[in-house]
Amino acid sequence: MRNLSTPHSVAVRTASIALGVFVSDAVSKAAAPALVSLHGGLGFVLPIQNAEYSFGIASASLPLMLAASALGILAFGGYTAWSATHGGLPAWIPGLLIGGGAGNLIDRLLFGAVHDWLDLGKVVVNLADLAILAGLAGYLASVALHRRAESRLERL
Amino acid sequence: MKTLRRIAARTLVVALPVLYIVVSTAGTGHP
Repeated sequence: MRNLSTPHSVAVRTASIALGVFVSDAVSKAAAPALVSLHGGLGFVLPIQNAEYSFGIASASLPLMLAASALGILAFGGYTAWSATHGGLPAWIPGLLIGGGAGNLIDRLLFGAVHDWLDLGKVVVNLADLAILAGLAGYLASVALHRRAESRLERL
Repeated sequence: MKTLRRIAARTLVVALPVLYIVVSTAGTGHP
C-alpha cells in the first residue's frame, strides 16, 4: 500500500491534534471549579494553582518561566514537528507535545500560574501534563525503535 | 569525530525531552 502522507498533510494532522489538546485542556481547566460542587468533585477533581514548574522542581520570575516554556515549545516541539513532516515520527507525538505545552504556557501567561485539577492520589495534574507525558513516551519509544532498526541494518 | 557527533546527538535525544518536561509541565504534589 502506498503511503499517502505528505509533509503538508502531516503538518495539518499535527496542528489539528495540538489544537484539540489545547482546547480540551482549556475547557477542562475552566470546568473544574464547577465540577467540585458536584459530589465534592466526584473524587478526582481538585482545582489548585501551581506558579512553579512541576512539583516545584524549578522556579524563576514569571517572564523567565514564560520565555523558557516558549523556547521549549519552539525547540523541542519544532524539532519533533519537523521530524514528523520528514517521516521520522508519527504526527500525534508533536501534536500532543505542542498542544500540551501551549496549554500550560497560555495558562501561565493569562493567570500567572497553571491550573491543576485532576487528582491522581499523590499528584494533581491537568490534561496538558498528561498529553506531554504521552507525547514524550511516544517520542522515546519511537527513538528506541528507530535505533533498533538501525543497529539491525548495520549488522547485515 | 563521528563518535563525538553520535554522543552529542544521543545526549540531545535524552536531554531535550527532559528539559521539555521541566519547563512545560506543572504537576503538583497532593496538598
